[in-house]
Amino acid sequence: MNKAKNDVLQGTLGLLVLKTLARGPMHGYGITVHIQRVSKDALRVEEGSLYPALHRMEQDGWISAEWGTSENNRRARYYRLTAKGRKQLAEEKKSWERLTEAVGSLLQGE
Amino acid sequence: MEKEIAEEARTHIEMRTEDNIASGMRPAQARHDAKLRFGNVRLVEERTREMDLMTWIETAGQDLRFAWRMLVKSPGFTAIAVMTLALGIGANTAMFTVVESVLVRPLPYTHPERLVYIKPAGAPGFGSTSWLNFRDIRDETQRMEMVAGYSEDVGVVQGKEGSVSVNTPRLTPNIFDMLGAKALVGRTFSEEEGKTGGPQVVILSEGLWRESFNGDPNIVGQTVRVNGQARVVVGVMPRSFRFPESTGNDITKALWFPLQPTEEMEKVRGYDFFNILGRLKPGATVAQERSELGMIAHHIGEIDPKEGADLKLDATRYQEMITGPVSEVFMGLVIALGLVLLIACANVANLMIARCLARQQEFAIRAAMGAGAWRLIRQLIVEGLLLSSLGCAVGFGLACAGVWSVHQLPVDTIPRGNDIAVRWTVVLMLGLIAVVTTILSAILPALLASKTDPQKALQSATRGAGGRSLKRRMSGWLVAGEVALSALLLIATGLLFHTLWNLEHTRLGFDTTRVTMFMGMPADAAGFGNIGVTQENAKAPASVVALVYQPALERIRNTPGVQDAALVTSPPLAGMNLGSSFKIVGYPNDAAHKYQARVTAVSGEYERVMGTPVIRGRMVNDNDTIAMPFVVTVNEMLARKVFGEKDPLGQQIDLGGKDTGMMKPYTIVGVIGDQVDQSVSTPPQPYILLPYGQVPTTSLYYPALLKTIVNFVVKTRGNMEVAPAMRNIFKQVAPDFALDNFRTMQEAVDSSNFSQRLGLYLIGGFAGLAILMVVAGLYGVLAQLVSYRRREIGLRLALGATPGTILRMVVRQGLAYVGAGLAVGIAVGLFAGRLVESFLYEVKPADAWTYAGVVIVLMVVGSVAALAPAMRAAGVEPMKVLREE
Repeated sequence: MNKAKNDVLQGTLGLLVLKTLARGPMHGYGITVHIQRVSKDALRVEEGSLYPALHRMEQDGWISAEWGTSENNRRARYYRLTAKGRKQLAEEKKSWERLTEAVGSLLQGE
Repeated sequence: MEKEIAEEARTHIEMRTEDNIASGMRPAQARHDAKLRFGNVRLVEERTREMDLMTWIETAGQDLRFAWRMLVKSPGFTAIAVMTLALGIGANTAMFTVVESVLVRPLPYTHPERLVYIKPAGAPGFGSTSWLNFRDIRDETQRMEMVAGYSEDVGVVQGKEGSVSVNTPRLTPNIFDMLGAKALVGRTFSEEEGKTGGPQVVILSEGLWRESFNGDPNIVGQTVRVNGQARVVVGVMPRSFRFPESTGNDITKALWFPLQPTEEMEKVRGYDFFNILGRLKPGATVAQERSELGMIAHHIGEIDPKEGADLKLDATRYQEMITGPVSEVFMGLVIALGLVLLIACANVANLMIARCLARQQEFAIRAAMGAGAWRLIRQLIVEGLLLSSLGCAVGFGLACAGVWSVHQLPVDTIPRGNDIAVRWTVVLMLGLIAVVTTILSAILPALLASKTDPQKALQSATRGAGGRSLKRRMSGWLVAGEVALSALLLIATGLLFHTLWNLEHTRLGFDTTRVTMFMGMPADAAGFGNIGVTQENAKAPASVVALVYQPALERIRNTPGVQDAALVTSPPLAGMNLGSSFKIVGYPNDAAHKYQARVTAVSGEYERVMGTPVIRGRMVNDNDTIAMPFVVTVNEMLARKVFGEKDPLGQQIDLGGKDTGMMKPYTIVGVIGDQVDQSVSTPPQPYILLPYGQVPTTSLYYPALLKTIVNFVVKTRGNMEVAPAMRNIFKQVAPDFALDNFRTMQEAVDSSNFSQRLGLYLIGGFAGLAILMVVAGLYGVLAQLVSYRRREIGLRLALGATPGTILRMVVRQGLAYVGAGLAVGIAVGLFAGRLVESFLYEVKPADAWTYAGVVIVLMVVGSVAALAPAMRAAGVEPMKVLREE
């Protein structure tokens, strides 16, 4: 369950997706747009990696998915955070904070 | 799923395109940009699929690690479960190996499935018929593409280091073609060599060639002496050529003659020394061949009404002929072992159910945490699979040990015994067994676990309630099932035990104490196939009796430690079956007054060595020489069958007159008690004992009874090794004699009962195993029951129940399971008892003793298993239990 720590990039993506979904159910495109907008274009999700990652998180039971209708009346798959996913988000957030804190104190110490 | 991904990708791209257009791009450009940013849809699909595989591997790995941790955490449970499964799996694998090698694997010949053995209908075993019948079948058949034949025989060959007695089957030359057998050195027989008066040639077996001729590479063309005759070696057959298979392992050191029909064979249709083997044309069935043989037999009856009128022929697949005697035993054992495996699975299932109950909280928590029912089931199945795999690994070791021990059995216990080996099919079977055991032992607990309602389980966890009643009942049923299966095994054991007891207490008709028998073969042995009547004008040759047997017997009797000794052609249980038809002088000359009997030549003292009583008159003895009136002694069976209430003494037996060279009739002077003959379990046949001094050397009987194989029986004063002294005597009296097969009469009796004994040990062993499992299973179930009902029991005690009542209550519960199982087991046993009927001797399948024994044993076993939990229940302290709340 702690594979996220081994793979920073994927871990980061997972964290970003979980955080995004914490606001409420959303479809894949919405997730990309949200991450890009909130990060003011600093973070751009590679779309080719997003869907495998979503599928993986679904398998792990962190998120669940169901088909719904978008604002524009388009059929889209909506992802939703599960209880397990919420726990996972808290954990990943903590470890991310630890990491940035560590990196930050290292940089300040210079 | 792929469709979903593709649809999701499409939605994504369309949404992006719309946004792009909204931000001012031209539609085409917007679409292009959207596609570019998404990348290769196919690739995304593929990577998504990979994620599935990765999760699957990862979770499977987790399950496996978790299962392993659970098993390691309770080593007692694991050890019991693994050993239980290993015993069941090992025994089944070993049995499957044997069955596959012996029954299923085709014989190593060309088109083995089309080989059929032809014999007179109703004849036991490898029944034989005559050359003339063979010739007619060969000439008339439409359904067989080839018909060959052989006759079995024995002889003595002069090797580099003295005489060796060997099997010398005579084969028609085409048999090699039919079987697709090639010579290792030289060639097989030619057409010419299979004709009357053809060249005197011989083919050696690889075993004989290596042992007695040092594997001489230039053996072809050399002359060897067989039965005192010179024969030219034309070839050596490889070890793999074991024809005829019915000869057993001795064939590996045999030699083969070409069958050259003798004058008698061409003349007499009743000269039944010939075995027929045919190869069906492609597409022809055995049933078709049977009906064809019916027509041919009918035709033979027409052309030869005197000898062929009653001829009925039958065809059987050759492989069935060879394995027939054991296929029933094997099927019995396969069933028994299947039962053992079922019991093992039931027991492991019960153990797992028990553990599931203990782990109910764990499951409940996991379910509450979001683990799906499927995931929990999978976890249990993985645990079951792990147990089965461990069981298989240990079981495979046990199976190899089992196969090894099969090879330690006496040679020829099992036909094709040498072929038995663990092959890849066995490993495949092992895998299959593992899957079956997993399913049987894990599915039930898994389903039960998945039904757990987490809320209820969590709430009532401390009280140990919730969903328990279904599981408890399930465990009870499983135990009852185990009891039923064990009852079946016990019934089989009981029936076999009773059979063996009867066999050991059968009246043998002779005393086995300190009697040794051995076989002697003259160097110029006549062989059964070469028997003929010497022409009347020829001078009668001197009898081997005076030349060898009398002086040898004299020396044997004078050997220190020897009390008495005698010669007899075919003693009881020697595996020799020399029969003849005979008539009674003065009785009508028709088929109803033609009798069959075993015939033997004996020296004096035979009845004293064997301790067989003479019922009436006297036993023939050494004073009955060729110059005296011809006399015989017969056994009780013959007297009863032929003469009924009439006095047999003084009646005269006609043994064939001119046809056989037994010109004078023999007067019956005595009746001797019946002895068992072919085996302990078959009834004695009529038996004629000729004094060995009164077998005319010109008759057919002389070469058959005195010049091929004779046996000596020696009674010693103490237990002593007879062989060295005997070999020494023959070295002086007749150095060319081959002596063989030394064994005590007790050994002969034991080996005659061997298959029953082996069956009893095996099935008895399985039943013992089953009982152990039942004890463990019943104990487990009752122990659980008691621990659930502690509160209730405490309450009962507080309300005035005595510990005695509680004790009885638990034992009664246990015996209820046993009783239910017994009822089912006995019902099935009564129905299935017929399966073992052919192994029983004077025991009915519904043997009252056996059934009573089984009921008693299982009731006692049930009570013993129930006692410990019952005592614990009775010892419950009410106040303590009630305060636990």
